[in-house]
Amino acid sequence: MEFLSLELYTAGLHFFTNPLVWLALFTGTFIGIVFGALPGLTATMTLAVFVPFSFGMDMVIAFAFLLGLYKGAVYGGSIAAIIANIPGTPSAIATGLDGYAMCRQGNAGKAIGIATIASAIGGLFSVFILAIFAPVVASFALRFSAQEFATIALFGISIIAFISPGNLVKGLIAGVLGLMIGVVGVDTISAHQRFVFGQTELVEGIDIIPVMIGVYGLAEMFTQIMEKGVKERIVQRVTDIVPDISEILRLWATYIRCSIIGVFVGAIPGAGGSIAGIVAYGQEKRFSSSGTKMGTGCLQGVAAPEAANNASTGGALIPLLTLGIPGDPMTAVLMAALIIQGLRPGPMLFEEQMPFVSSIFISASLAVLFMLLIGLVGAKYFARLISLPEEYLIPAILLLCLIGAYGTRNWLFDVLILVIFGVIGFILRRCGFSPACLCLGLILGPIFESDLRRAMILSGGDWSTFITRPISFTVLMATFLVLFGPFLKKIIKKIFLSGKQG
Amino acid sequence: MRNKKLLLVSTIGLLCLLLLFAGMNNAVTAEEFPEDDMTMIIPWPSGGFTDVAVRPFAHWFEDYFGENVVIDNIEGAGGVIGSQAIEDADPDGHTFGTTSISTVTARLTAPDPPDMDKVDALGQIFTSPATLTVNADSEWETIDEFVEFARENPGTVTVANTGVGASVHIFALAFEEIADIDVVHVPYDGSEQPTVAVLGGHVDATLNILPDVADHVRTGDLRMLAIGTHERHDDFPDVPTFLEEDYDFTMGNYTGFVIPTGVEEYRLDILEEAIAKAMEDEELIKHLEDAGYVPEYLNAEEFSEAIDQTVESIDEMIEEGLLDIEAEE
Repeated sequence: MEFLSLELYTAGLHFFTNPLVWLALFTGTFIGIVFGALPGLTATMTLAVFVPFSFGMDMVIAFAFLLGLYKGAVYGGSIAAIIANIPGTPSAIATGLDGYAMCRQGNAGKAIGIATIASAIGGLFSVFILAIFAPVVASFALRFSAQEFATIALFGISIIAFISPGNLVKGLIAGVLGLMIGVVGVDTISAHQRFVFGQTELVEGIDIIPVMIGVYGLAEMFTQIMEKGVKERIVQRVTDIVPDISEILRLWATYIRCSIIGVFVGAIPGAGGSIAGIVAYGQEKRFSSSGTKMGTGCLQGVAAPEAANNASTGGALIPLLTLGIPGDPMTAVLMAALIIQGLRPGPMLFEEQMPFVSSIFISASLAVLFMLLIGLVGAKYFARLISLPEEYLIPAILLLCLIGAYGTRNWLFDVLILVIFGVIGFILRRCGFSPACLCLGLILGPIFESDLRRAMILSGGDWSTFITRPISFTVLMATFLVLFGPFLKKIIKKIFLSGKQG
Repeated sequence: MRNKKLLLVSTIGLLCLLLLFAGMNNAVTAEEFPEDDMTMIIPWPSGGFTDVAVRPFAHWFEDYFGENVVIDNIEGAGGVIGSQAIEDADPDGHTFGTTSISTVTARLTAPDPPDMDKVDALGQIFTSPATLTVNADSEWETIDEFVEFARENPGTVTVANTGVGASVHIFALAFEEIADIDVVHVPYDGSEQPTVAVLGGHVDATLNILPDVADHVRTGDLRMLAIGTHERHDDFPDVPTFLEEDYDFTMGNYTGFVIPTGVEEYRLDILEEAIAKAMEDEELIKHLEDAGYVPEYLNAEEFSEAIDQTVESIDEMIEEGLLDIEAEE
C-alpha cells in the first residue's frame, strides 16, 4: 500500500513550473469547449482528431492537453444542448431537456451558467475520487500477471454488449469486426505474420489512431454532409451568464447526488458520460422533492446531468489508469495516446511512472478550473459557434482528420487506413452498427489474445489457472454476472413468481 | 577551311580540357566532405531508447563537421522501415543511420526485412549487455545454482523475453544451448514487460539487457546473476560475467552507424574518423553510461565483423531449428 502516500499527489507538482504545461491545459480546455459546443462534434471525435498532435509533446504536456480537451469537450456539449437543443456531445442529451426549455423562456445565459458551475463541481469531485481510489486499485499492481490481464480484457470486451445502442446483435457484430482487425500483424507469441500480405506497414498491426479518427471523425463528417440542409438553427443572444450565489447554493444536494452517480457510472466500463447524465436526470426527477418541475425549464434539470457527466470523466479514468480498460470511447482514445507514448496503462503505471500519474491528477483538477473560467467568460461567444456555416466547418475538420492520421507516424499508409475506416465507419453508422464496439474490440482484442496465450504458457496449458488465482477468478465472476445477470434475473423472477402462483 | 577545322578541333579540345579541369577541380573540392546538410536516420520514434542515446551524437557531429545534422526518426515495423530508408538513401555520404540487433532479427518477423549487405558499417558506439536476472526473493544466489536447478527440473523454469525472435529471446536461446538447460520461453510485448514479469514473480528469470533491469537491481528488487560483457561492469562490481563462471556467453544488443553501400572510400574514412573522435568525448561517454549503456567503440571493420557474426549466429539458430516458430508453442 505504499502508493497511499502523499507523494503520489505531490510527485508531479514540479512539472507545473513549466509554463508549457499550463499553456497545453488552457489550449486543450479551450479547444475542447469549442469542439464540444459545435453540434455533431462529439468529445470522442475531438479527442481522436487531436490525439496525434500530442505525440510530439512530452507526456506530461501531452496529457495536460488531452485532459483539458476531454473535460472541455464534455462540458462544451451542454452549450449546444441549451442553445439549440442539439446535444454537442451525447453526454449532454439530458441537459437539453430543461436547458432548451430555459432557453425558450429567455434564460439561456442562466442555464449555461449553472451548467458550467455544476460541471465544475462534478469534475472536481471526480478527480478527488480518482485520486483516492485509483492508487488503492493500483496497489495490487505486481499481482497482475497474464491471467489477470486476460480476464480483465475479457471483462472489457463483454462490455460491448452494453454500449451498443439498441441492437445487441449489431453491437456484437461491430465488436467482432474490431477483434478481427486486431489480429492483423505479427503475433508476438508465435511471430507468425497474420494478414500482413507482404506489407511491411502491417507488421505491427493496424494502428488504432487512424482507425478511430476514421470511424469517429471522417465518418461523422460524411454523415453531416449527407444530412446537410436538414437542420435549421435558431440562435439566441446569451446574457447574464453568472447566476446568483443563492441559486448556485440552493442546488447543493443535486450537485452531491449527481456527482456521486456520475463517478460511479463513469467508473463502470462501458457506461460513460451519456448514461451518467441520463441516470442522474432520471434520479433527480424521481426522488427529489422539486423533481416534478423538471422538464419545464428549471435549474435543477440542467445541473443534474451536467454534474453527472463531468463527474463521469474522472470515474472513467479509474479503470483506464489502474486496469488498462477503456470504459468508453473517449477513454479508449486516451488509452491509445498512452500506448503511443510508450506507456502501458494499468497497475504498473503507478509503480513506474508515479510523477506522471501524479501530474494526471493535478492536470485533471486544473482542467476543471480552466473549464469554469473559460466557460463563464466565454459562453456567450461559444454560443455563436452554433451558427458557424458547415461549408467552412466540415472541410476544416476533414483537414484536421487527414493531418492527424498522417502525423501519428508520418506514414501515408495511415492516411489510407483513415480513409478506409472513414468509409467503413460511415456505412456502420448508416446501418446502425456502433463504432464504439468496433474500437473496443480492436483495442482489447489483441491484449486479450496475447495475455491469454501467455497465461497458457505460464500455466503449462492448464486452464484452471484462471480460477485458482483470486483476482482473475473475481474478474471472471464479474464478467459472468455482467453477461448473464439479466437472464439469471429473469429466471429467478420466473421461478419466484410461478412459486407464488402455485 | 582547314583553319576553321583546326579552330573547331582546338576549341573542342580546349573545352574537353576545361571539362577535365572542372572535373579535377570538382574532385579537389570534394575532399572537403561533408559539403551539405547531413541526415541521421533513426529507425525508432523520437524519445525512444535509441533516439535518446544517439541524439547527442548528432549535435556532436554538427560541431565537428560544421554542417547541420538533421535527425530523421523513421519509425515503424520494429525498425524495418527506417532501416530500409537507410539502405535506399543516396550514397553520397550525407545520409547515414543507426543499426542494432533488431535490424538483423527483423528477418524472423518482417515480410520484407532489411538486408545487411546493402549497408556498410561505420562504427559501433555502445552495447547493452544481456544479463541473467532473477527476482531478489528467489532461491538462486548464483548462476550455477540457477543452471543446476534448471537441469534438474527441465521444462519448468520460465524465462521472459521481448517477443519471439526478438533480441532477448535470441539471448535466452543461446544461453539455453551454452548452459545445456531446457527452459520455458515466455514472450512479452516491449522491453520493460519481461522485467516487470520477473519483478512480480510471475516468471523466474529474464535475459533482458542491462538498461532494462539496472534500476531494479539497484533498488534490490531484482538480482543479477551474470552479465554478458567481457569485463565486469563498473556499476555492478559484484556481478560476475558469464565468462568468469565458465559460460561462453557474451551477448547483448549493440548500436552503431551504417551507411548505404556505394559511398566513396574517402568519405567513409572521414565519417569513421568522426565517430572515433566522438567516442573520445567524455561528455558523450558519460551520457551513454548514465543511460545504462556500455560505451564500446568498434571501428568500421570490427563493427562489420560483429554484424556478420550476429547474422551468422542467427542463421545457425534458424538452421538448428531453435527459432522454429511451430516448435515454440
